[in-house]
Amino acid sequence: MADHSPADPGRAARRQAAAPAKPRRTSPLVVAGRTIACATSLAVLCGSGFSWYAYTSLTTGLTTSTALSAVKKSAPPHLDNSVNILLIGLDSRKDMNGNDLPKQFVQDELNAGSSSIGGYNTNTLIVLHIPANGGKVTALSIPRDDYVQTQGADGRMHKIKEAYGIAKAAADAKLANKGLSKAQEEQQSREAGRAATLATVQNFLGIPIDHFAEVNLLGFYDIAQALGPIQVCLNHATSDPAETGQGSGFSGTAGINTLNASQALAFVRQRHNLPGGDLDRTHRQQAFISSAEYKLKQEGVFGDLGKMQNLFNVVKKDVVIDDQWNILDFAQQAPNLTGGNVEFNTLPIAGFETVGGEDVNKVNPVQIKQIIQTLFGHDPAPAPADTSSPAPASAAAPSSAAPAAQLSGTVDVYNASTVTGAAADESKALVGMGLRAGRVTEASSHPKTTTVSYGAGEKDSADAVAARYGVSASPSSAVAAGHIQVILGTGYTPPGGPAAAPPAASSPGAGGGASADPAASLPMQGPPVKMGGIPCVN
Amino acid sequence: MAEQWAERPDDEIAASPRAGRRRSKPAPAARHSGAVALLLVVLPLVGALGDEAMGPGLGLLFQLCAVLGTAGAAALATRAGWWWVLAAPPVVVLVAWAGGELLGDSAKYQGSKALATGSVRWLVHGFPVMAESIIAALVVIVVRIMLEKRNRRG
Repeated sequence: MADHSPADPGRAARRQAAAPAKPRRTSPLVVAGRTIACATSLAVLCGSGFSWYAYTSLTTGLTTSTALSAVKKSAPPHLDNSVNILLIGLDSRKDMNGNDLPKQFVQDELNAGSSSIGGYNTNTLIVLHIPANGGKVTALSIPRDDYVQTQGADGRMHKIKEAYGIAKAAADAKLANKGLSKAQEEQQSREAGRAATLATVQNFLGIPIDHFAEVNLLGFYDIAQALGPIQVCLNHATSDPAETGQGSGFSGTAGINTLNASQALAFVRQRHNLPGGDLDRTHRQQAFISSAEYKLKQEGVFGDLGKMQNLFNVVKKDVVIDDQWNILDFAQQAPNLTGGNVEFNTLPIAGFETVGGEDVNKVNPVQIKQIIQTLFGHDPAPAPADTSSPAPASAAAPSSAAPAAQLSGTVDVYNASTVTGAAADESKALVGMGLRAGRVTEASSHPKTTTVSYGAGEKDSADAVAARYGVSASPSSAVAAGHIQVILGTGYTPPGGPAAAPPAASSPGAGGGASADPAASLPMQGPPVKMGGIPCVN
Repeated sequence: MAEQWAERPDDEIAASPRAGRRRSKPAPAARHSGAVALLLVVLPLVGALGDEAMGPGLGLLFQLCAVLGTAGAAALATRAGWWWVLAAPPVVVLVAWAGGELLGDSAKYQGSKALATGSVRWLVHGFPVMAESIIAALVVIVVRIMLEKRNRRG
């Protein structure tokens, strides 16, 4: 390399003079050593350089947010190394800088009325829980009209979708006289909106949010456009004409429908003329994600860095992620999200009511936290953290949220209600809480309320079971030792949902016992949507 | 390898008036071989461990140690030793990064999937340090060559 410099005449002369005296050749071993060292070094450098280039290409231009940093300080503790990701779908007709999207585009392509409609509602909120052990991913949709305590907004009760807009409006007012450009103000006030949404969801579910991704209407449209025509499946034909910004403009036939970007957006936004109204819209969103994942997998995008990069280049201008989300960490978790390893469920509501002239979903925060703990607390913790900290501080101490292993005994379930198959469903759910299945049959008596009684030695377990039905357990000499007897009264309705909503999560052929699919034993809003194909929805 | 860093080019050996005595008393360059090895290999390793001790992940300390170590090694090494100085950074940086992370945050790399992702992470984040180290060494080498040429002319 630098051993010789023949261009130097003086040196050449000296070499010529010295050569006869003491010629010294570089040993072949040294040459071989140099060659191997240089080849290894070059290989490592090239590999490293390529990885760096690919990584930099993927991440350059991605909009990141610092909103999560502050929210994490007040987050419930993590009990294991699992990861919770919040997907936020923002119903905004403005670009990232607060400019109205072209009117014609909003009307014709987004079918979203004008830029003044929609504000900053987070119409899609989906929490992905990736277990520490790399097992099945749980995806939970939060109905957008759930009436909850907001955090970081004004601290009052609102629809959960409104936390973003309320916090953003408050931040806009504060930033108005600070001499910021419109784009700067928009970006900073959106950060306030994100922080409020993250804090509200974190508080509502009782779990820490580790990462988030936000996409707006335009972003969704661009993603759908990049994906190309996408197939979805409908249970029934439906139509929702766009009328002054109210309808989504979607129409489809029963069975498989192939949608362009505009139709795809209408598909996930339709809420009128659907049996389950707004809750069916949530299932539509789940179904679309499933269909998109299926299409990407079929086209081999996940295994092709070039295709992945092309897709990423299109979508990254419209997506905002938290600044702590490392693409490489996500790459490690991504395989869990593909291959039918994800099941979407919708958190239950406790009915509807009208507050201040607006229709909202009533929710039971204690029940929601219990469900979350049951679902997310399932991972075997890699570190001995579970033993020292029972659960995040919440009102969800007793009941099914308790670890399944703590319940013992055999549960006999008798059905006195008019709900067909209720005894079997409840037995399955209780087995999911750690009990052994006993008798499952019709009741001989017909009490109005559900009763829970227990034999010797099963008080604690019976109390936990009773909490599920909102009743108290009582000892009974008629019940054998080690047994718990549950009689589902005539007034029984499946836990969690309104009478109109069937406990569908426990009925579909999700396969396996309750221990294999913890969601199957929990009250969810409507049937689950399983990823790995094109699921049919209303 | 340390012996190779002491290896001297033919012209220097032949031109040296002490060529006949080199076995009994090591030449200055040979005496530096230990320092070259320390700067080139040990300093980055110390930097990696120091960074890990201060918190998870490698950062500025490791980067400084790797770049300054390679530059220092290039300043002390013989011309023949430059082969090794220029070839070393990619491997040294990668090994130091992997070693530091595995020692400092072993729980993060349990399982083949985590290890595979980790190795990509080391490659990605190691590249700028590798490149900076090589560039630093090249700058030192160019400066040395220019100085030597000027000295000869003078």
